[in-house]
Amino acid sequence: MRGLLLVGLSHKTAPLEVRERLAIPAGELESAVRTMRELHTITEAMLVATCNRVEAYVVSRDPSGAARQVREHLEGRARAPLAEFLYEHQGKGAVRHLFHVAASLDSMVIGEPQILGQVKDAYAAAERAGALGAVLGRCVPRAFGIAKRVRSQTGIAQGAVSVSSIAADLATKVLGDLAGRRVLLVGAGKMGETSAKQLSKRGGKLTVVNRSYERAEELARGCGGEARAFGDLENHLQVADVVICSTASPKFIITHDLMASVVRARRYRPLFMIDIAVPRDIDPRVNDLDNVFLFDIDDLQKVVKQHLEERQKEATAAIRVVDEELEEFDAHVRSLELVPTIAALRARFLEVGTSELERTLPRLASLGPKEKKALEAMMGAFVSKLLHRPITELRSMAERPEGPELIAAVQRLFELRPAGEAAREEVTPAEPGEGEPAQDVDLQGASRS
Amino acid sequence: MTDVVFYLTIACYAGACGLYLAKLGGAAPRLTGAALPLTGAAVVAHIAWVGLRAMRGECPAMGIHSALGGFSVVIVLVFLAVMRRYRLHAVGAFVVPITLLMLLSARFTGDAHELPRGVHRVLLPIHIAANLLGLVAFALAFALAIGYLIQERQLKKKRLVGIFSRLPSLDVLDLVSFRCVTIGFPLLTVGMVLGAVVAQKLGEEAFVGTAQILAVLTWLLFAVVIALRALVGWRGRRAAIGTVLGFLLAAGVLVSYLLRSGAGPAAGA
Repeated sequence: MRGLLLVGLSHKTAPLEVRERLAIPAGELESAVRTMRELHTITEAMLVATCNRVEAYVVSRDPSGAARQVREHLEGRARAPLAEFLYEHQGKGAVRHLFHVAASLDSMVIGEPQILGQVKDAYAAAERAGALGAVLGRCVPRAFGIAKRVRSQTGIAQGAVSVSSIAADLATKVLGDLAGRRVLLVGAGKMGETSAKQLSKRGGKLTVVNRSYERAEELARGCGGEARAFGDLENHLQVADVVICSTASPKFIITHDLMASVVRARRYRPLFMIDIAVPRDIDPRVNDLDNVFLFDIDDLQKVVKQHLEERQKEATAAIRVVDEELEEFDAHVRSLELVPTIAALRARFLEVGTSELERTLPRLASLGPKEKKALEAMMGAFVSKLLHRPITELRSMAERPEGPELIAAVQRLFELRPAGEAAREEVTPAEPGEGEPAQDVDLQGASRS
Repeated sequence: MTDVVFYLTIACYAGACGLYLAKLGGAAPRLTGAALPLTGAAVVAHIAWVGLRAMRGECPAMGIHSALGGFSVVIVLVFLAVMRRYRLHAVGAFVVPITLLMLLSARFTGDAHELPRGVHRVLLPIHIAANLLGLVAFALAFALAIGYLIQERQLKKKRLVGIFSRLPSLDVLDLVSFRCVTIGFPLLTVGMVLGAVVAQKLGEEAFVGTAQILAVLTWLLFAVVIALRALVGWRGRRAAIGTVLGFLLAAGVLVSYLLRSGAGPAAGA
């Protein structure tokens, strides 16, 4: 995972006014990724851009230089200094962050489902821009799988966290399927309208009553319902299955006495009532009536809080899942990094042995073809036996934390350039890193070998 | 062989019962996913047990104990059918323990009896079968009514925790519970009438005992639950309370039969 770099900002580090300066409209994502990919030293790029975060995931042989370039690029886009808002992760840290983001563990509302779709969009845009390679092509799909596992195995996505969704969920809990159920919206408050739309989306048939009939008509048109006169409120209450109140009335418009007679007339059919108005529109004692379930704005907010707390608790389990997956992924990648190194080590020894043999054989004119072949075979066996122990040790160490250092040391000691690495340098002329070239074994090299 | 199958059935029910209760208590789905397959295995073993007994010449409805052992499988079959239609997984936590209790009491509280001769050879098994199938329907209605009452209270008190998320909607619980009552009630009626006929023919002395009084009270209570729903529209909490009480009375009838020495033919339920 060396070579992977993340530079970005999110709702945790930057206020809205900064985030909006960096906002990238969905239609421009592809060209923005292409521009970033064209930056010197960058071989792969992906941009995750939502209202809460802008993050650039890039792959480079020179992560420090690339970080500088990406920062400058982002500041250029925002036309403002961003140093205090930007964070940066490299290698495994960047992968961990990506896994957390995709699994919605870094979201403003933990467990919200949109982020996974947004990361998928970012991946698709990067693919269209031709900016994906072996590193991102391996990490990002893995992040999708992990996000799915986290959602299915932990409760981070359970329980709605918006008032309108909770209202609709509770209505479903009382009435079952909402298809064809009658939803009565009393008043023209904004939150009432949002809740009514949510119920309407789930198949509810909406009726709007308001003191101003024109406003009721306007609302009904917007929500796909029908407007009715406010004076018929009692009749509407008798046929409704869900009632949402959000008027500006200073006193109760639905009293206990009114509802007591309505309940009898309804023959005790269940009724779910939401009072979003402040001051309240519905007498709270209505909740004591049989088969009437009344929730006011405080009750709904309490449920929101409760769900958020439950998600927060579940986040601990989710982080554990992500960490497990990260370690597994890391070990897998390290084992892939090892393959070209072993191949290069073997090739190096054989190369030395063969050249020595070629220098010696002309001086041994008395040897026939049979003997020469035997000498070549002996040289091959000698190399294999000599390398058996170091290769076994390398394999066993590869999945341990000190594995990468050991691999790097072997590469340095024997001046190895793994085959994939050499091939990549031929394809991507990049400026040499500040460190030893032999150390730059990353996923890209590994996967091409 | 019969004993091995019996204990296998008990083990499967006990395992499923534990898993359903754990599920209701909020255990992770990967831990409780085996509840349904285990219930299915229990049903297969249960039917095999009934079959093996029938092959030995024991009629499943020749006495209250053998009938209880045989018909208790119906409750799980009905549960599986209802669950398939309404996704009522949580109800398993109530239904499977009831079945387990029925099966255990069938095995350990009495022995099978010879069928009497004459007309009773036909009427008695029908009487027992009708009553026990009625009880099965009431047991399901009871389980659903308990679920309704728990959830209704949580909604009224705004304490949406614990098993709240795992129960189906109030409407479904109320509807399916009432349907079970309307299935159980005619079965109970037929069972009671036939019981009275059989008892009269056999000239039983204790025609009016505790079991008979409880049976009549059960019948009256369920009649009221059905009538009030039809006439006034009573449903929800009141209907659920009526259903719970009705099942407890019906279970009381069964217990009084099981405890009675020589539980043979009888009048009433």
